[in-house]
Amino acid sequence: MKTLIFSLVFVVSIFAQNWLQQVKSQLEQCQNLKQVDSLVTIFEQQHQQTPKKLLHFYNSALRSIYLVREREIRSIPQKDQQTQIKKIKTIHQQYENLVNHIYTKAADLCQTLPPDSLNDELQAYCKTFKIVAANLRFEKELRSKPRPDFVFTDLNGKQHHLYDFKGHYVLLHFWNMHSQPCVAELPYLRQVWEKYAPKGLVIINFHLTVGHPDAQWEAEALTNFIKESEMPGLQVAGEQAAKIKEQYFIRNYPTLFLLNPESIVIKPEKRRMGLSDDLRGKKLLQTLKEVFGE
Amino acid sequence: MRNVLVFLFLLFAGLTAQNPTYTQAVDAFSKNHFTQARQLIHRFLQQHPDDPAALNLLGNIYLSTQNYTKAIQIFQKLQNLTPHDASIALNLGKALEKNGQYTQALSQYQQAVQDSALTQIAQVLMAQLYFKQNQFSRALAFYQQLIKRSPTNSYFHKQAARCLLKQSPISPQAENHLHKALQLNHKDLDVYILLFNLYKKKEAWAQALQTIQQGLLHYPHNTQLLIAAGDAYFASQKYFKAITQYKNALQAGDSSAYLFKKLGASYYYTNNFPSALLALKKSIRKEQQDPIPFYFLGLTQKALALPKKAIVSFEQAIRLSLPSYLPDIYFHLAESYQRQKVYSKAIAMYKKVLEMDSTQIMPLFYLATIYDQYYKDRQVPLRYYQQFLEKANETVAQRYKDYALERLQAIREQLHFQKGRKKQK
Repeated sequence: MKTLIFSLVFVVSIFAQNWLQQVKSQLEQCQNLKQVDSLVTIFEQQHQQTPKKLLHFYNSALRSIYLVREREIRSIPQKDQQTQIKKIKTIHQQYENLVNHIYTKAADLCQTLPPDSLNDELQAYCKTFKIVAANLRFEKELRSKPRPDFVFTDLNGKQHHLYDFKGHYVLLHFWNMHSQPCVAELPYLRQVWEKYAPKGLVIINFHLTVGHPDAQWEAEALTNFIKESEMPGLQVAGEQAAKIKEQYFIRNYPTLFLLNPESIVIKPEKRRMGLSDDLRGKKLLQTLKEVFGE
Repeated sequence: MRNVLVFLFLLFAGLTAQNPTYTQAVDAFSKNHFTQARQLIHRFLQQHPDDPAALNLLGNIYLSTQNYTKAIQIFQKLQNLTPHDASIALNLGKALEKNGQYTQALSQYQQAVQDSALTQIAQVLMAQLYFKQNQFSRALAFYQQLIKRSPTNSYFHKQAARCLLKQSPISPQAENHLHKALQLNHKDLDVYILLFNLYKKKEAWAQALQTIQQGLLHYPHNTQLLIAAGDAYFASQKYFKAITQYKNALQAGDSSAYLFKKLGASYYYTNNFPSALLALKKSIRKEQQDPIPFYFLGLTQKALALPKKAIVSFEQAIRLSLPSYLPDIYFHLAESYQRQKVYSKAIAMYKKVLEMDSTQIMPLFYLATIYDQYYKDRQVPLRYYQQFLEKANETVAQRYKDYALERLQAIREQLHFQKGRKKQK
């Protein structure tokens, strides 16, 4: 009896794998992203009643879409450069839209399913889908709504709210003292502080701890470093900085956001690979020059 | 030791021991109540002024209270009363030694050596006195005699090694004696440290580390051993391990300038610059005359994009006479000046590097680029680019050579056209 059940499970799993393989090969055979988009729509309509199957499909589709995009870019006829660039930009946009659609749909689907009903593999997929979808939502809302208020205590023990600084441009700086790019950023921060603090610029630095260092030594080293480097602005560290970091989906250091007097993020205009390009190095000076209308 | 002394007093005393004042004085002495003991023995001596046991006790009371002149007087009086008593010679010798009268002390010890019961202790005292007077070969001769008499005494082996190390810091015989001492007593902290220092001098870091690790098995929280372990790892360029040991020493209670200096340097080498900054500042707060922490502080500040502060630290290190094995300080100083855009000083420092070591190559490149970018005269950068390209070997990255060559050609062209224009005029 046991042997029979085992054989049945095996046959079913083979069948399941075959199904996924077939879908994958169908997706990869697509010549362009439009075809993939149509396939995704059809599959979604057909499998509304089997959400777990859909989750497997989404995960597989994400990998295949990348391959189709690369193929489509390579197949662009090499005529004039301008047309080529335009075409590549369109493909990138289609790719981004499709990927965003999949992550958002998949995350919504995960939300409807009780976690106990998912196996380890699907739970892992759902974790990624939810993080990416939340990040996408964050990016979408970042520049359209004022950032939510938060409370923090600076290293001098004084409590502040983000909204205490409404009416000012606020530069949120997420950093780590052991990171060389963060250290390289400090001379520019000092320069903008000197120039724009008298015009109402506020800098809030959030020091984010990496790993599990000796807490007492790390705290002392941070205070000493801030003093030595004459780091401008308010200093926030510890767990509160880590919590605020999560609200801003920080994955790289340093990351900077410039908030306008209504607490809406105005810079960076768009983050590429999580990097805030227009607020780094010399560009920080240039950006603030534009913002302050010089 | 004091109990043994009390027993000896009572033995020495004979009939006197039956006197209650005397026994009370001995009792007070044994409990370190020296004032009371002295008062009691004085009372006793009023009735028995020449009693040898009482005088001996009084001499020892003065010796214990560091009143050496009076101790000497008492023991001399006693020696006149009992001239052949070797134990009195020994006590008198001790009092004379404590009073700084080494020659007289030695002659008393020599007298005591004659008594076979006291030979060993007299020899130990003589060896110690010779060692104190930096007469290490004489001290060694005594310890060698003592080892012959008591080959299993670890202290004698340790002391013999100490004498040998004073004569030659990497003496193989000393190493043998120290190993023997450890075999006989593996809990002697001094021996671990002596052996570590011997291997340190020999730059035998693996053996040094092994020795310290053995010591740490017995004394896991000993700061001296922890720092020594850190030093062994540091010398072997295992900086993360060195940091662990130095931090253990810090936790065990050491907060010396040396510890923070080594911790700071280790953090610097592991690129943990904020921690290096903290440790080096702590070291400097405790000791301002050591140039090394200033040197590492300068390097750290330079790495943290603080060239202005780095310049101050480097200059302080130079003022405090930085050891000659760190000549690269001028190179770092030059780079810091360059970042601060103080080009005249940067040039002076690069030239200083070349003066100190004419085989250096990169200063030529930097001199060339500074003159090229910030000075009018075209001949100077041309000369430096030429010199750089002549000396640049395979250790120099190709991109520097390419840049130098490109600039060299551009300057030559520029000079060629300048000449042409002059001719036309």
